[in-house]
Amino acid sequence: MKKPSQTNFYRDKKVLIDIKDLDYCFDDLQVLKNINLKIFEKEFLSIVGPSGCGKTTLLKIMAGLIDSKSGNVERNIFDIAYMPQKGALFEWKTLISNLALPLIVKGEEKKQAYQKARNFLEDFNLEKFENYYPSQLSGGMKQRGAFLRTMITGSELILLDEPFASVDEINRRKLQLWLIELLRRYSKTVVLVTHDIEEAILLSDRIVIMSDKPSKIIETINVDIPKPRSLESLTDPRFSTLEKKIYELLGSSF
Amino acid sequence: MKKRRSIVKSLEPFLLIFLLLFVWELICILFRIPIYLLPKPSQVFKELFEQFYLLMQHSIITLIESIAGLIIAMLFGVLIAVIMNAFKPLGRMLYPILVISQAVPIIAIAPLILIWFGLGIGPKIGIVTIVCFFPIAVSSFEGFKLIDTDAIDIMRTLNATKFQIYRHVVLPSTLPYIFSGLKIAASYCVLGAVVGEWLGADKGLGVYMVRAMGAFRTDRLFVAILLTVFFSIIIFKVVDILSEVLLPWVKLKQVQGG
Repeated sequence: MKKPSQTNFYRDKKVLIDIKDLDYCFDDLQVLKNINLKIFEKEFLSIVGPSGCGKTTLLKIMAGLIDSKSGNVERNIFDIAYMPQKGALFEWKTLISNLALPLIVKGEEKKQAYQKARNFLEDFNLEKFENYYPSQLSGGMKQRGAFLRTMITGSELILLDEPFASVDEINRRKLQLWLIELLRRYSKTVVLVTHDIEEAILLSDRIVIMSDKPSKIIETINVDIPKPRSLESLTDPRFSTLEKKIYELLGSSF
Repeated sequence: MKKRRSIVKSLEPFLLIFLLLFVWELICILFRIPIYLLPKPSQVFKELFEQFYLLMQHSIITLIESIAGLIIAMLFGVLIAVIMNAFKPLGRMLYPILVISQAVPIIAIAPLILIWFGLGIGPKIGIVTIVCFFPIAVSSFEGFKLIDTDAIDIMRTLNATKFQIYRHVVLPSTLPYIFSGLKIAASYCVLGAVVGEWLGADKGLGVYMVRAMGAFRTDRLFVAILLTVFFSIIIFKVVDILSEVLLPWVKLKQVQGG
């Protein structure tokens, strides 16, 4: 396998997470095999692969939720925000208390936390929903709330596990564009796990393509479509070239 | 207009009850059924008012036993569920014992408890606790099993303490289950107290029942039944309202269908 050429491009950037020779087994089943991956500061990295490969496991290892057992995972960052797949808002808390929660957990005064959450909601024109419970919000709204709760922590690194999976097609695209906007405002490092190739291309700087179990990294691809991305990016000729390439890479992994 | 309709609607459940009472009264009059066999509803209500002061003296004791037993059962039931959830092997050992404790007829256990602990108020509270704690323990345990692991993961990445995880995730997501057990328990805590008193006590609705039976005063027996039902409904309703106030999101979820 060829060495990714983009290492030069990222050479002078800070590495937030450095994974070296990572193997991970769940009981007798080998889930991850020989993973080498660096997460660079301020990049948007997507991990694409078939359902049930070790994508989520890899993300949880990055988040520190799973002990990596073997291999070396070096974290140069303490504060990591993680949004699990069903990482919806807590249904027993109103939108604003959901947003205030991370701040309160981190030791902020309750009043201050709520004020910050309120400002955050105002920034996104969601303040009129602050006292709504999640069950009163639409699917897209819930997901936006969940994103904001992940962002409000101020963590440099955001780990997202298929955040658009539970949203319908139309809202999914809207939410993706909304996320682009959100990241333009709050510059963050993002690792996104998805099985939607189009989504990965639209959002990412780099895409890591993984094989089925035991999952290896097949290839890492640079997305050279100019930023900021928008709906126009979808019709960029490079978009379909990349899409085809990724499908081919995934197809060859059987 | 709309308001009037809602009043009519809130009266609907009582409509059938009134009708049945009326039929009952009619049957007693038509067939001249003697009072010691079956009293007329009107006689029962008359007795209720005449004996009101005495009845309240007995009721207060029964209510104290019921509510104290229910509260202890709740604390105990939730505690058992927490332990069963925290120590899985112990949980597997405890579960059958819980089921057995519920399958043993209370009517057989109660006399033993009275023999061991006497005729005071304490043993009755104990009986109510035994009767009530099973549904609370079981449904709390189910609730603990269904806690969303993703929610806990979010808290863990925030470096939350164990207490914070309990306070913000475990407790609120289990409370609806605790309450559904509590509602079942609330509906028969008074019954537990009455059974306890029946077997021996100096005050309480159970005692009043035994005395009424001894004197062939079926009307008084019915008064006691009426009060037992009434108090059961009241306690159930209080728990129900409490759960709506404390857990507003549960009702919203049902209305919106998730």
